Amino acid sequence: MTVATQARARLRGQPPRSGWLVGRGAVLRFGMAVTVAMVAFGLVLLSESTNPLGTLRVMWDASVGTEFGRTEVLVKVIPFGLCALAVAVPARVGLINVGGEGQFYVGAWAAAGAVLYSGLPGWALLPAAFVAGATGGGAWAALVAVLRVKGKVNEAVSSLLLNFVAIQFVNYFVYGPWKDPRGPNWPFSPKFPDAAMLPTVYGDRLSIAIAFVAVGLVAMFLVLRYTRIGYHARVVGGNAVAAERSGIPVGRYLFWALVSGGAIAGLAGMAEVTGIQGRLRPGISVNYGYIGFLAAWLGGHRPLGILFACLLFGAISVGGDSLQLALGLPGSTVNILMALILFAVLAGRKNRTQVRA
Amino acid sequence: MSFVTAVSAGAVRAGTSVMYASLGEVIAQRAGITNLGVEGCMLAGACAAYIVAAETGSPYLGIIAAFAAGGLFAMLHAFLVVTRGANQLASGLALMFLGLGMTAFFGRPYVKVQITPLRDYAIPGLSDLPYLGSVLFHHDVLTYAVFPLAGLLWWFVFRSRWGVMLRAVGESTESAFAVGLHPARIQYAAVTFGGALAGLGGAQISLAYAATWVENLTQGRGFIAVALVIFAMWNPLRAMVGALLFGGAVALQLQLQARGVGVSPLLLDMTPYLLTIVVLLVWAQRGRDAFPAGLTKVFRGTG
Amino acid sequence: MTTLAALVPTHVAAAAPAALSARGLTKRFADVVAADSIDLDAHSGQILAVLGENGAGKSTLMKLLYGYYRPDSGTLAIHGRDLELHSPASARNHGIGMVFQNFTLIPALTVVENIALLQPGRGLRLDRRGLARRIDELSARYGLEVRPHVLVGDLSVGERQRAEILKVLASDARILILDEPTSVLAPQEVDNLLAILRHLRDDGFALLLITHKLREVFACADRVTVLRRGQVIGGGPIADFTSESLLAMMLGERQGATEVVAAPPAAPRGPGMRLEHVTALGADGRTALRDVTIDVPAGQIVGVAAVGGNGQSGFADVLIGIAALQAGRVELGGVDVTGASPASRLAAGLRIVAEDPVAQSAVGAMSIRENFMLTRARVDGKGVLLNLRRLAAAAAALAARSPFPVPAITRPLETLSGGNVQRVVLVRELQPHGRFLLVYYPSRGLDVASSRAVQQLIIDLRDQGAAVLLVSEDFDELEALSDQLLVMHHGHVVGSFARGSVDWLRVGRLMTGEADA
Repeated sequence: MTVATQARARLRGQPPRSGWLVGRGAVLRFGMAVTVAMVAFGLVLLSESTNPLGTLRVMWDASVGTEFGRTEVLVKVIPFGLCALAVAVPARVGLINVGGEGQFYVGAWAAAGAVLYSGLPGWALLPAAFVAGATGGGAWAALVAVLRVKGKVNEAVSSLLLNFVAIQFVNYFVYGPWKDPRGPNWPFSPKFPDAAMLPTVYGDRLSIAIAFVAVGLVAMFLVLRYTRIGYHARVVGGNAVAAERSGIPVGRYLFWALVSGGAIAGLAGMAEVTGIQGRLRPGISVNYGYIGFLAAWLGGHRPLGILFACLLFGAISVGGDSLQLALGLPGSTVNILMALILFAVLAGRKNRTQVRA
Repeated sequence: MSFVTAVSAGAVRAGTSVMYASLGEVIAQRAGITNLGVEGCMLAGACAAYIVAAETGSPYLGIIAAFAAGGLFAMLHAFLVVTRGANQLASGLALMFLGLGMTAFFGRPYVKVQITPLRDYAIPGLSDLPYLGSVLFHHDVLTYAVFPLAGLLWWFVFRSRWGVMLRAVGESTESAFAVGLHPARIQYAAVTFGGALAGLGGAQISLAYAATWVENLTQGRGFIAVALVIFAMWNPLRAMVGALLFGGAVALQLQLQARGVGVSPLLLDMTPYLLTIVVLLVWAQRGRDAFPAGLTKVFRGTG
Repeated sequence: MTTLAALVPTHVAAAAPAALSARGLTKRFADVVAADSIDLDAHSGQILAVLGENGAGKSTLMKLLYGYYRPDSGTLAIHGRDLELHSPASARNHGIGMVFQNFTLIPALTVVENIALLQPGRGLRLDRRGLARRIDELSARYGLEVRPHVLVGDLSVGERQRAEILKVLASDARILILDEPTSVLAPQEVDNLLAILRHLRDDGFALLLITHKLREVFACADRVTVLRRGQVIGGGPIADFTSESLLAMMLGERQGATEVVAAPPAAPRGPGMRLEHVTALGADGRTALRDVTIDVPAGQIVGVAAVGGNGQSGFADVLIGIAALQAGRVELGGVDVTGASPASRLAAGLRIVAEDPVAQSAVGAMSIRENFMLTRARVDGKGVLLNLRRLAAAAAALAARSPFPVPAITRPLETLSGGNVQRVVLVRELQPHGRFLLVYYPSRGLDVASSRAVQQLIIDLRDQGAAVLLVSEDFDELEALSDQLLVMHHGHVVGSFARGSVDWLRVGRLMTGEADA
C-alpha cells in the first residue's frame, strides 16, 4: 500500500464530522439505541419480577411527565451540560479530557473559598465565585495541559488520575480547615450567605446557571463556526500536521482548549455549590464529570447532540431518584439504563479501530 | 499487636482486592486494551460473590461466581472494543455505570443479609512466627492466593510463550497479525481474564475484608487499580508492590485514627495518583513511550 | 552465456514445478489497480528478482503472495499444488516466509521473543535456551550475527534485518520473500546481505527479492521479473538482460513530449530558496537530509529525482521550519529564516504542495472551501471573525480560476478521491502570491489534461519570478520543467544536470546508488 492509499484509508475511516450541530443520521441512531436499551433494561427489571412498564411509568411521571419533573431535568442538565462542554471543547482540538470530575471539584472548592473567605461585600460574592470557579477548574486543567504540552504526558491518563487527587483535596478542606465550627461535626463547610446563592429562574431549584449551559453551547457553536480561533482549533483537531504546516501554533491551542474545558467544568462546580448545595461538602458530584464525558461522547462533541444527550441523561437521572420513593428500588438502578444506551450506541456505531481477526 | 505489625497486616488485607484488580488490568493492557470499567467488574464480582454465598451458604462458590461475573462484564467490554471497534474509554466508563446499577439493583435484597465470610486460616507453624506470622499467615484463601498469582503472572507475561504473544498483540495488532497470530482472540481472552481477576478482587472485599454488601462497596478501588497498573509499568510484581503500598496507606490511616493521631489521612490518599503521574512524567522525559505501543492508540484524541 | 546463470541449475529447477507460482493475480485498492493479472514463478535454489519503480506494485504483489492481502482474482500454487492463502498464518504453514520492508519485529520484545512468535508449536512453555541455540546455529551458518537477548528496539538497523531473516529461517520457511531488504542498509551491509542470500539459495531455498536496485539484481539474481504500473512487463534469466535493457523496462518507454508541457529556458532572477549544508532528521527520527546545499534562484525550477525514502521528503519540514536542523541554514529570498516560525515563512511567500496532501496539508472533516483557507488564512480578511461571505466568494473565485474542474466547494474533503484532494491542494498553493514553491509529485493521481494544466501553472509561476523546487517521480515531467536537475541518494545530493544535458541512464544509476557521484 502506498502512502497515499494508506492516508486515504485513514481519512475515510474517520468518523463523519461534517454536520455542525448533530451528526448525520444521529437522531435515528439515538432513537434505535434508546429503544434497544429500554427493552434490555425492561428484561433486567423483569428478572427480579419488577414490572418494567410500571417502572418506566414512574420514571416518566417523575421526569418528563410533570412540570416539576421537567424542571428537575433542567436542574441536572446544568452539571451534565457543563461537564460535557468541558470534554467537547478539548475534543475539538483532538484532546481527551477525562478530568471533568476533578475540575468540577476544584471549581466548587475555589467558588466556596471566594464566598466564605474573601471578605467581599455581598453583591460581589457571586461574581467572585464565578471567577474563582472558572479559574480553579481552569488551573486544574492547566496542570494536565502543561504535563501534556511540555512533559509529553498523555492528557487522558493524567486528567483521570487528577480527579481522585481533587476529590481528596476538597475532602481535606471540608474535614479540616473549612469545617463548619458551629455545625454538628459533619464534614460541611459553613452555609453560604443568601447573597452568594444563584438566583433561581423557575421554581426554587432551577438556578440561573442553566443560562451558563445555554450560553456555553451557543458560544461553542458560534466560536467554532464564525471565528478564526475556532477555525484554527478545528484544523488542529482535524489534522495536527496540516495545522503545524499552516503556521498554526498547535501547542498553544492544545493548552488553551484544555484550560477552557477545565474552566467550564469549574463553573459547573461553582453552580452546584452556589445554586444547589449552599455549602461545600464531600461528594458534591455524583459522577457528573464522567456522565458529562459520556454525554459529550454520545452527542458527537457537537452542541445540539450534547444538549440531547444531557436532556436524556437528565431525565434518566431524575427518574432514578423517583424509583427509590415509589418502588423502593435503589436510585442507581437507572445507571443500568444509561450504560445500556451507551452500549447500544457504541455497538451500533461504525467505528474505525477494528482489530483484524 | 504492635503498630508496625498492625499496619503491615492491614496492608496485606486491604491491598489484596486492589492487587487482584491491577493484576487483571495488567493482563488486559498488555494486550493493548484499557478497561476503565475495572470498577464495574469489581462490583459485579463482589455482588455476585455475596449473593451466591448468601444463597448457598458457601463463600467458596461465591468466589467462583465472582470470577465468572467479572469475566462476563469484561467480555462485554471486549465485544464493544475489539469486535465493534468502540472507543475504549467510553466503553469502560459505561461498564462502570453498568456495574454500579446492576449491583445496586440485584444486591438490594441482600444488603441486610448475613453470610458466612471467608475464614482466616492460620498456617500451622508459620503463623506463630514473630511479626511475619500475623502479617502473612493469618488470612483468607483469596489473600493467600494472590501473591503466588502475582509471581505466576509475572512468569506468564515475561517468560512464557503465551506471554510473548500477549505482549506482541499489545504492541501492535498489525505486526502480530503479520506473524500469524490472531490478535482479536488474544485480546478477548486477556480482557475477559482481567475482568475475572477484578471480580475476585471484589469478592475479597465482600466475602472477607468487609464481609458485607452495600451499594458501591468498592468505592473507587477499580480506578486505583488502573492507576497502579501504570505506576507498575505493566509489571505484575510491581503491581503487587503498588497494591501493598496502597493497602499500607489504608491500614496506616485506620491505625492512626484508632490511636487518635491527627495526621490528615486524606492527603495520604492522593499519593498513589500523584506518584503515578510522576512516574509517567519521568518516563516521558526519557523519551520512551511508557505505554505498550498498542495502548497509545486508545488515548489518541477523537480528532 | 554469462557466468552467473551457468553456475546455477536453472533448467534443472525449471523442470520441477515452481516452489511458488502465481497466475493472474489481481488486486485493486479503491480506484487503483495495484496488481494487474500478474504471473510469476519462483524456483527452489534460485533467486528471483522482482524489479520495479516505486509504486509499480511490488509490495502489493508480495503481500498477496504472503496472504496479507487476498487477491481479487488469480491463483497461487506451491510446488504445483493450488492453494488459497487466507492469512499470513496460512502462508507460514505452507513454508512461505516474508522479510518485510518495514520490519514486523516488535521493538519492545527481545530477538528471541520475536522469533518465538513465529515458531510453530503450541503450549505455554517458551524454550528460550533451545531457541537461542537454534538462533546461534543459524546465525553461524549464514553469518547472521545478532544478540539474541537484546530488545529489538535497541538493535541497529542492520542487526534488525538479520533478526528478521533469522525469524523467518527459524520458522522453517523454504520460500523467502524479501521486500526491498537493502533499502535501509549501509553499503557494506548490503554486500553482506547479498552474500547471505546467495548462501541461502545454494542451500536450496527459493528466494524472491523485491528491489529497484539493478546492482543487486546482477549481483545475485538468477531470474528477473519486471513490474510497471502493476503489470508484468517482462522477465527471464538474468543473462538475457543488460542494465540498460532492465532500466528501460522499469522506467517505461520515454513518451514523447506530447504528454508534458515543456518549459522554455529562463534566466535566474536573484535569490530564491537556499539550503546551506543542511542536515536534518526526518519525521521518523532517521536522518533525512545530509549536508545538503541547494540553491533555487527566483525564476528557476530545480527538479529533484530520487527513489522514495532518499531524503527528498525532508525538504518540506526543513523549509516550513518544523524540522529541527542539526546543522546548516535556510534562506528565503536572501533572508536567513533558519530560526523563523512557520507562520512568518508562509507570510514571506513559501508554498508547499505536500508529498502526501491528505495526511499533511488537508483536513478531511472540513469542506473544500475551508481547506482553501488553510495556508491562505487571510483569504477572508482580517480580524477575529471569519467573513464567511467573503470566504465563499474567494473560494468560488479560486475554484473558478482553477485550470481543471474542482468538485463543489462545500463538499467535505474526506468524500473526495486522492486525485481530487491533490487538485484542491494544488489550486490552493499554486497562486500568484507564492514566491517560493516546493512542489511534490504535481501530477500524481491526475489525468493528462490536468497534469498538463498543473505543469503550465508551475511554469507561469516561475516566469513571474517564483523559485520552484520540484520533486517528481515522472522523468518526462522533470526533464521538461527543470532548469536544473538534482539527483538524491541516501540523503545526499549526488548529481546535478543543467537543462538539456540530462543523461537519464546516469540519473538512473545515481538514483539507485549504482554509480558514484
